[in-house]
Amino acid sequence: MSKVSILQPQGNYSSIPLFSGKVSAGFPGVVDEHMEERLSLDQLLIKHPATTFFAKVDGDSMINAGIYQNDILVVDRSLHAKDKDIVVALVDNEFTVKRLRQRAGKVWLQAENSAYKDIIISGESELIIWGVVTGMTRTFR
Amino acid sequence: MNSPSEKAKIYALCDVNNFYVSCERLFRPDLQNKPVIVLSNNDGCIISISDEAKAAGIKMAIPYHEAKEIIEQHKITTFSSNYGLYGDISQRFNWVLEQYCDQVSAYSVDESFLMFEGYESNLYERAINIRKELLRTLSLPTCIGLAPTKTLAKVANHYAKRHKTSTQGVVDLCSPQQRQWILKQIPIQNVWGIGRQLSKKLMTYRIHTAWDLHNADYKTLQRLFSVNMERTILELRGQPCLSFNQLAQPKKSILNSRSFAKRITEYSDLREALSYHATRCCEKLRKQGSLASSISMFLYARKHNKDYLYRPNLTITLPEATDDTSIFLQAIDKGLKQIYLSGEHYKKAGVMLNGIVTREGYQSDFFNHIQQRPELMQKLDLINQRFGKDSVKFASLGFSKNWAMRANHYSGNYVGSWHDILRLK
Repeated sequence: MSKVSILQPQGNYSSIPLFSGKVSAGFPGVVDEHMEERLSLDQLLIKHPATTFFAKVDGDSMINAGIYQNDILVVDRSLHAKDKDIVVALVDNEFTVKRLRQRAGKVWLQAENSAYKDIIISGESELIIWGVVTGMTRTFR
Repeated sequence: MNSPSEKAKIYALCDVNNFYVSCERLFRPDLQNKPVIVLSNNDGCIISISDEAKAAGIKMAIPYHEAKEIIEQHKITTFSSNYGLYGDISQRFNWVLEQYCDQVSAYSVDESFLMFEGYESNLYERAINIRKELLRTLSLPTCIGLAPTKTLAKVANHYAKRHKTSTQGVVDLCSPQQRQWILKQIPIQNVWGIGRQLSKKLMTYRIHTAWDLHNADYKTLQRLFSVNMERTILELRGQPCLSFNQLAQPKKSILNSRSFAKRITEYSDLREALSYHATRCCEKLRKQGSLASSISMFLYARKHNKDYLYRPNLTITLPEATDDTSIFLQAIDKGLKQIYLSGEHYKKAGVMLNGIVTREGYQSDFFNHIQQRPELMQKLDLINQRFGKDSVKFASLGFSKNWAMRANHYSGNYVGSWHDILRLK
């Protein structure tokens, strides 16, 4: 069984931000100045806002990495891709998400699904890495 | 080495090549090195051209239909303008620049000034790095000009753009020795602030190049032209006269307008169009945290085969400033009834919001208080952001869209709509 620890947002679970200080009825403007910061998924998922984009998964080639159809990927273009990174690459003029592998001078793209073959990058073909996948998000309902 | 003195200020002008085309290519890397063009609103004219399309004979600002033959012959990929996307990329462009320089000032959607203070040397190396990083992380090809004044930085940038291969896209005019050679090659009309009219007049004084102007007697020219001319000459000589202009002003008026794809005659269609424009204006208004206290609506009609124009314009001033869309929609209802004439063939409609104040610290007038619903507006913006433009809208926006603009080559808003984001196999 896998353990799950729950991150408690500051204060209580509610859609209303936490306030500190007095709230005088009739002057709602006062409230804003005492608003404290809430946890934000943007903050957690996006380290470099200038160069981060979202993309949607269309296929099952990465299911063993826990990436399924319609998952939203967070792609950071400022990072330099290294071995074992999940990357967005351009193969045959089409965007694809795969695991980048580099070993002993060889470069290939690995699917996380045994039904898919590795994509070997040979001398002639050029590999364009568009960005590095740094996170993912999925909604259940 | 020609390094500037320690406390000198150095300006850089960084400018994106073929900006709109480059934005489209960011999400279509397969179009790198292929001919691409972008059309203006309503697919009217060509407003951005890749180098390959230029080589095929496409010219700037010509009507789309006139270029169709060349487009087909050379298989040129065509995009309708996607200003939502371009605005977002422009912002990201400035964010990346801010990683390299504390002081960045956006001059237009695709060019920004940077100011470096107290750098001893190697700004050239830094500029090369900025260029590489913008290309790597945002796929934006740029040119950078470095100089002790903004006008010289513009000149340097201009030269870099004309000679991309030999300059590697960066030209440094910090040392006076390098200036003469380059200024001699810049025609006078390409100097910042010298328009076509001024350059004609300057040529009668035998001033043909930036170098001629650099050597001209600025006191004489100030008398003949204006103080701006004197400033330009001093700036060309390396004496800064223009301020860096740190802050961008929040917009003082917000405008949304558009030509119709076909002529419109019905009241209900016009009402829909104006409601659409007002809705967009209100979104912009809320985004910049402002309120507006007046709304102007305008129509544009032209009778067939006659020089007769009907261009009504009506402004309604509200009892107090607001950012509530429904209040502006009520105003449109009232106003349009007064300016609408049946039988006219309307070509264009638009809305402008004025009397803009910041929401923060706004004192509402107790006696003129209009019912406002800020929470509703906030939710509306959130829902539309999540599910796409106009997922939830006011009924007066309508559903027929007879007036919608032509955008047959729209690429999708990769950064502004969950529906349009990149798809990965």
